[in-house]
Amino acid sequence: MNHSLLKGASKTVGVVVAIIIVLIVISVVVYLSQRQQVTTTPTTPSPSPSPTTTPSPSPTTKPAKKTMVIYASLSEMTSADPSTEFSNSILWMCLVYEPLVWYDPLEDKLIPGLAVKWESNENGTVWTFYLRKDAKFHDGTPVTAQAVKASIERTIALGQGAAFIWDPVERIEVVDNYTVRFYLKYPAALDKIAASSYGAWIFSPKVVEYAGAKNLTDPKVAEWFNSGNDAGSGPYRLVKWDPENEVILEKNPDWWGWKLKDYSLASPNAPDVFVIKIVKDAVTQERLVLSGDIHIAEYVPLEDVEALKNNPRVQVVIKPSFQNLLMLINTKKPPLDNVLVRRAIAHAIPYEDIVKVARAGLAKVASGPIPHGMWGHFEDFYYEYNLTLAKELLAKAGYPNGINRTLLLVYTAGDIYEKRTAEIIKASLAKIGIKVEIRPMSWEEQWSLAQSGWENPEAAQDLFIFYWWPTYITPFDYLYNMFHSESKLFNLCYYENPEFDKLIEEAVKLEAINRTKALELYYKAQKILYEDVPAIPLWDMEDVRVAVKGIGNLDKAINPAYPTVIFAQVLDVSGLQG
Amino acid sequence: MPISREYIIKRLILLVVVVFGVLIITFVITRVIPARPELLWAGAHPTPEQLEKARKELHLDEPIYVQLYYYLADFFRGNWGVSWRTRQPVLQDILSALPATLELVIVAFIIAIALGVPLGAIAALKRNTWIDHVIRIVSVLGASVPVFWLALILQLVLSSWLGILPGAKRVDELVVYETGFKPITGFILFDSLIEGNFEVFVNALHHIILPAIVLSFYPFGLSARMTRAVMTEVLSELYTRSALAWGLPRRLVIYKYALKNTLAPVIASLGLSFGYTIIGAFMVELIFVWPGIGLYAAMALLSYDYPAIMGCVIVVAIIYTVINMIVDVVHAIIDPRVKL
Amino acid sequence: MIPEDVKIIFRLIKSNPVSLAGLIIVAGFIIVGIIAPFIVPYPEDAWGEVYHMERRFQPPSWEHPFGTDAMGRDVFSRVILGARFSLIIAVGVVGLALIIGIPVGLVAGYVGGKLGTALMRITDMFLAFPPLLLAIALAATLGRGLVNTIIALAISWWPWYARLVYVQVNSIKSLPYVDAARIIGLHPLAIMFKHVLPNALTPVTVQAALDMGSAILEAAGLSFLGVGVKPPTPEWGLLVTEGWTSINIAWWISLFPGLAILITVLGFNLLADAVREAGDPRLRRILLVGRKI
Repeated sequence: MNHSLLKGASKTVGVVVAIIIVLIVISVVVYLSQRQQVTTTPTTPSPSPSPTTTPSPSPTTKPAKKTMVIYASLSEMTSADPSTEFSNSILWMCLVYEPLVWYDPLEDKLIPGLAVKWESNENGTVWTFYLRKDAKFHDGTPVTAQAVKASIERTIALGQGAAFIWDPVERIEVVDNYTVRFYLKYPAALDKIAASSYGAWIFSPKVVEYAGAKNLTDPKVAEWFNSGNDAGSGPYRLVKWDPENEVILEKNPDWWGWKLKDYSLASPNAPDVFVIKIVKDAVTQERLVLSGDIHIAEYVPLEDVEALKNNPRVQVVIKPSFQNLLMLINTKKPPLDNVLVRRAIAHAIPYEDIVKVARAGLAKVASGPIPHGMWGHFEDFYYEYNLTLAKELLAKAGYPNGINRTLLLVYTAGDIYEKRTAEIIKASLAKIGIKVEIRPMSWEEQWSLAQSGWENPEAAQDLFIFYWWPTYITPFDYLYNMFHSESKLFNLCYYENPEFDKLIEEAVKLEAINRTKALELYYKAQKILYEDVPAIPLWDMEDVRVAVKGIGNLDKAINPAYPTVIFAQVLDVSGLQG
Repeated sequence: MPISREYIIKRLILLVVVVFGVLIITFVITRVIPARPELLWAGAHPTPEQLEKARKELHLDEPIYVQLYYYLADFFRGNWGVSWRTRQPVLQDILSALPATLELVIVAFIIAIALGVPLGAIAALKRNTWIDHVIRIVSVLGASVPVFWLALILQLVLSSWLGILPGAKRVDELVVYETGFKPITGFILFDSLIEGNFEVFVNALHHIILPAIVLSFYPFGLSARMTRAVMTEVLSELYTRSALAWGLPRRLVIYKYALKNTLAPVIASLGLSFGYTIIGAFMVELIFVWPGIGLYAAMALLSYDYPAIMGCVIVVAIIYTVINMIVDVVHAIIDPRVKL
Repeated sequence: MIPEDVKIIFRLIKSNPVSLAGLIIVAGFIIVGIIAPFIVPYPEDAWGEVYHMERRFQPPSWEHPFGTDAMGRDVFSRVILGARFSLIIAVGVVGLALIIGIPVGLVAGYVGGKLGTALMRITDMFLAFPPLLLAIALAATLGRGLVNTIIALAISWWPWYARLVYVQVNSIKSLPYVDAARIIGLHPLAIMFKHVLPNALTPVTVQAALDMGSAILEAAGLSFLGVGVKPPTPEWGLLVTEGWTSINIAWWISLFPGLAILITVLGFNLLADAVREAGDPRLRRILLVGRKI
């Protein structure tokens, strides 16, 4: 060892400090560069003096005691453009923006939103909506028929996300400031469409001005939205937009709903601040809600739900959801092209076990592709778990000793429910002599493999585990997307049946004008599926939310038509301490 | 100090060369190995038009060297693609996540060195006694424990069962909101201190302990082992022995001569373990919901968000290279025997 | 290294109970890895081919020493079979890395010149990635699976061996006996393979054998990040990950496979530690003289 080393040693401490300082300097630079991008509304370089951009009581000045509810979301927020958003941002858009009407699917009842009443002509091709006169956007401009027309036309013009829901609309007419009329190309239930969870938000047409854009479809408008600005009229407004970590909403004291006496979508004790916190793991969410660090958990490990029900610190709310899991069968690839083989498989699946193992009992065994609780669902389409029958069917199909080929079952990697379901199916089909290889794939891989099946069914998978949930609440959404011969994107059973196609095409047109007849047709269509078995519906999910005890009205704040949303304006936080 | 300008320049040139190397390797991985690179870049549910667009954007129809040129040009222009998951430019996502990770890693290193150096020194002094064996096993454990498993178990025991430490998050929203805390640099501990916001500081400190302890295991083991090795060596050096023979107090010898010599290996172990620690952060951040680049990368991996994955790979590789360069330079300053 | 060194290593290992423990662990792991399929108490559980409704989430008991998982499968059986896959991964990664690394290092070291420099520059570029990062990038590109995991890890691994061989070859090639062989007029290839390589090989293979622990650890990390082996392969990292969702009610599902990784890797690392000490000439001297400070 050298003696100069000793001299150097004392310097070393300095060097370590220097490294840390360098790191800090780097991060300052980093921070400054990101500052314009990750936006808290107050710092947004917004060209407009709109009230949206001035947070009411600036947190820096006044640490007021406000009520705050933190809701943990499993997935990060996506975009902030109300016209094109078609994913997780539904979580806050339902609080910041409003549609013309809301829909309560469990009661099968529409609730007034921006429209107080609406009507259609006899054959459902002309719809008129009457707007409430006291609704204002967050920038102070009133919600008018012009704004409705402009909003929906922008959504249609951009043609992204859920724009397809407006497909029936031919033109929109402003009758007067508070009356708007839709002329349709063909009969459709436009009231339900207007209550869609995506693509039906109304926003202030002034965004053009704020964004410094030429018109509404100018990409600058989308940019303006996506930098964390809102132009809605809802009970909350967006004050912090950090989509990967947290989104903060603040109560809009001017919202029309607070003033109504008995509006079902408002509570006098709604929280002042609603935070959507991204917590990407169910175990952690459970831990946080138990320690009171968050108030509502979107997901907890399902196995723990029983214990949580008995925990005095939390409440558990279980609601039906319209998401279901199906196993799509490749109907064009032997031996699965034989309907008897498909039926044999349907009878060889232990549905009850799957629900118990995969979902810890928090699901219902499916009866047809339309989930429980939704209109168009019928109880006549359960398959009996019966191995003897399954073996008989298989023998009748010409495979008395089982199938000599290993079937490929694909599921989305990382989804524990699908994984467990797949493993049980594999174990059960082995009992009737059908060997199955289960393969986890990324959704992209899985989907592009399945896409190739239209051209070359031999090369595609045999079985495909698949979730479906509707954009707006109609049986047609399920039946068309997964089974209609023209739906090449999601009909991954490659099922083609002209009779079925015709039935559902007719039914959807009758939805608005003759519900009974529509139901009858939907029943027939589902009966065909039940016999043909292009897919095996496995289970209809139930949603579980766990919240701390002080949160009131949680049950009312959940609506399966708007999955994952907590309607904060309905909550009662008077029982919340601290 | 015996460190020449030529040395620094040489290191900087080497740095540039290595960064180019990193870029070329990632280019090969992303564009040459996959049969159809556009499938990886076009996102979920690509339409034929989107695929065509992706092919164009990646210049896949051009010769490979032209592709490489565009690849490098895009890199230096900061055009790293858009994450499918967050729909934000990847570079922006990564930059905004970086401070959280650096803060966590720095705290982990502080813990590691504060524990590793003294324990390593003790082990060397008590060589081949039971204390040495225990310390040795513990330090080897640091390099043997699967970091994600450790995170899960410590989280379960310390947070869920005992309730001693918070099990996730970086800071409580309510505290931040009520005190009106506004981060300046993104390093919450640092920011809250200079703003005098002790409520946030204490809260953030409370939150950082558990993930930092988990992450400190590897650098702790490494610094303890290196200290032990160097101390053993120093203690066996002739001059030390003679110093002892001359009757200098043993403690003085140890402090004055031996312990100071451990600074060099500690710096080296920082450099060596940085790469491992930041990859460990991928998993630890996922488990503790720590909003850094690790969480971003882990989520990108779990959702096959390809542009984001490759962005993280490049950034982490470059940071690693830079840190190693700094460590080398520092090492050269401390220890003049190191020459390149 | 020459046999004498190996003897020294063994002497050191024997003299030190901690190192001895390492040796025992490694030996145990290899034996279990080889015979695993024949000794698992519930083979069907181990391979993930069945499920048992009646015994889900059972805590450890005599019948199921590590408890049962969400599908009612015996965790002990899965962990035991997991040793087989970890062994395959460890041998596969290190073996493949040697196959790539040794020729590169040998050529670079022996031939030298521009080719040698170029090869070593490429090697250095690979070394610019932190461990595991390159493997992550590769695994994300190649997709999940046992073979892809091995390939991804090996590609991030070989540069270490290339470097080691390069250094060895460089020091060996100027030794008198190599010069002598050259003067006699032996073919360069013959010199390379007959005289240089065997002598350069020992340290690399010893290093590689000890690196197997790290290979197991890194493969587990890849599995946790979702780019490693595919379920239902009972790889240890994957088993820990599978238990994550139910860790609050069934900690044993994650605990035991993680312990298996920890103990195995610890065994390799303790051995590596012993070898490192033996390799240090000064320490070796102390050891041989039998003196302590």
